[in-house]
Amino acid sequence: MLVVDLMAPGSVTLAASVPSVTMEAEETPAERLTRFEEGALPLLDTLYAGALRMTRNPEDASDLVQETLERAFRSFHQFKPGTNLKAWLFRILTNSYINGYRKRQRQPLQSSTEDVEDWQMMAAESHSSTGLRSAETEALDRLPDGDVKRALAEIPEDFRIAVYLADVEGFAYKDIAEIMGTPVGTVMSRLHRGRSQLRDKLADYARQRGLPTGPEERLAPAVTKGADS
Amino acid sequence: MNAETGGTPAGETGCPCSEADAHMWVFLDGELDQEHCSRIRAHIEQCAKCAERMRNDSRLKEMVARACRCEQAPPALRVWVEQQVAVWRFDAQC
Repeated sequence: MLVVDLMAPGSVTLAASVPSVTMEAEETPAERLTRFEEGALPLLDTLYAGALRMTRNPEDASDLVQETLERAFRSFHQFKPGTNLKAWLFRILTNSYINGYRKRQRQPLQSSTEDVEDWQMMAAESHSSTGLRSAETEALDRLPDGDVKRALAEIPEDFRIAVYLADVEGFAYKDIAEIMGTPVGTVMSRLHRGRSQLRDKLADYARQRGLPTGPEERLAPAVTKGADS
Repeated sequence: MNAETGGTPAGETGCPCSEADAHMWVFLDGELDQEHCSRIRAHIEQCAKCAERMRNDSRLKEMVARACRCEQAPPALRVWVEQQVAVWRFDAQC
């Protein structure tokens, strides 16, 4: 008998598209519906919030959630009780977005050119230079939530989804790897680069809003380089 | 150069700034192994610059969480869910 394990690494592309597989479950359809109602539906707001960050507009987010719930219900007999239902649903959501929604929209792949998988190398090269001073972080704290959402919307999709799953939903790296269908090293690289880009954008917004972003010399190395000799 | 917040040069302690730098996000995400965690914690206690870095990075994570957490599904989507559940229930009883 064919049994597709939706939680197995690498099966992300199957998650939303597997045909109904006959299982040995004694559960009746009515019982399964009740289990779905009790487990999945309370996560409606959570799924919608995730969909909104992915699609970046409310109408498409609603469509994506509908598609996700339909697929999830069809495949629900494959969900193993006791495992992480939220991660399972986010996997279907992400898969529906990447393979369904975005293709239909014919949006260009917002690829993030991930040639470099060595996140430690990137960490070494970029972190100290982009670290914020306290004054700047305090300025960022005063930015409205809308600016944070806008910054998130502007970074490449793979980075955006990884940062969202980690910082908003609090998923572990291994869950994010399964949800996005990538190795854990790629998740780490996406998080690192996504957060760096996010911070740079937020610092720009803070300056545009005239919020104090720390001592002037912060900008000096980048702006006046070469002009001092 | 600010002497008060100056970092520890690499190699001066058992856990130099560069190591804390490289592992900071993994540390804050709670994914760093025990050994590295202890070294980073010990380093942060001695190094004002890395301690500040940790606070700033941590606040960035909190900002993202705070900004995105309060979304609610629109009423039309809730209505769709209710209707869809009714359809599924009908199907289940057939």
